[in-house]
Amino acid sequence: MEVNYKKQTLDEIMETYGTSILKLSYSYVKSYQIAEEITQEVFLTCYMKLDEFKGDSTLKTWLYRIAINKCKDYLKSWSYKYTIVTSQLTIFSGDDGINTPERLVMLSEGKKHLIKSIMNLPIKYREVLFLYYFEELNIREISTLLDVNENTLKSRMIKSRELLKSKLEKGDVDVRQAINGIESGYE
Amino acid sequence: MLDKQLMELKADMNNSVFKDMEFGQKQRNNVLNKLDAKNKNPFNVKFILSSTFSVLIFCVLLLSTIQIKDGMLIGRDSGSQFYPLQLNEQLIADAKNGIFSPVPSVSYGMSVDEVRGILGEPNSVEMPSEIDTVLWYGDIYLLFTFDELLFTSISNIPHITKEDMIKVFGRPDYEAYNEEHGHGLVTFSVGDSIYKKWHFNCFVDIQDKNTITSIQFSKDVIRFGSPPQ
Repeated sequence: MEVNYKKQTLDEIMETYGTSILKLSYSYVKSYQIAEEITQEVFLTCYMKLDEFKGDSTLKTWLYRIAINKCKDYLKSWSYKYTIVTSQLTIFSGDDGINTPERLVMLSEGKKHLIKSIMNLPIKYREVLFLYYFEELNIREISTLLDVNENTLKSRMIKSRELLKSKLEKGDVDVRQAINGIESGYE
Repeated sequence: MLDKQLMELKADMNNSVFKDMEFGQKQRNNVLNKLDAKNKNPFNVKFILSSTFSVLIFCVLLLSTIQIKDGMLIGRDSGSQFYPLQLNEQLIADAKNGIFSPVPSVSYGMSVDEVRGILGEPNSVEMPSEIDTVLWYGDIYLLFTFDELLFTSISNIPHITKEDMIKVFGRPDYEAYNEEHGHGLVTFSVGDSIYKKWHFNCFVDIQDKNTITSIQFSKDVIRFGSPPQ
């Protein structure tokens, strides 16, 4: 594919999917700066691999899969864990968005609580909720995207809702306490 | 109640957490600029390193012996025999001057047991399975890949300064001084993306802000030989 044409195609892809990928990445890494960097990397990968895209899935699914893999790589990386460790030295802060009060100010208390609770869920529960309710994908699409069995996803969806319900009913009980005994995924 | 709230999640998040969040023209231009930079430099570092490695291995296969001097790395041929490969003069000079020099590992994929066969028992008790990168510091240090969070600290290194590190690694990623903790933290990193980087945490003297009192590596370090004087 000719370079200029390929770059033009990439620009159109970025314009169409950029913001969605950014939000998706944010839902994993909970940092705008990191999400933006990951999104840029997604499109660099997209450019490099564009010739290999055979159309077996939709372009959106393909891009989402790249983004999710990059986010999970990041969450498993030292860089992410380092942020947590060094935050104990009051040097770094990992979460630059979800706890920003002004971003949530226009929501009711219940909705604020819900969003915070979702964002504090372990990845494997958070991602299924996010993809289902925010991205409005069905279970089959999520299954293809995450390469996880549909029944497993249904089970995760039930557990996610139970965790949220517990959190909302108990008020200020930390959601992490509520998931004791449940496998904690990546976190 | 929960169902209703979840159904409104998209609108609620778009109006709050994701408000004004956009991958706009500036970000798109960043990607295109990075592509331009890559196109101008098609021979990226990885390619050069892997090519260099291949040439070195080829030379090793051609030569039956090679003189062992100080400042060596370990390579291997296809028959899993090990031969020392000399580092370039600059790296050796840096090492002798006590400057950290990250060098491409010619021992990538070598098992710990194989390394033990060449260098003897390491000082470290941690034994991950593969060597990732070699870091040189007046002696041989081998950095390994890691699965878990592993900090390895080397302390008592009075002749390494922050300025030395800056000469090798460039500007630090982060620099902060905390009177309460009694030290400063200066972070350097190597790598081309956020999740491929590896890091040094240099703890520096709170008074002169230049003397490094200890270093933490983001990967496990196994040291062979005597510690630096």
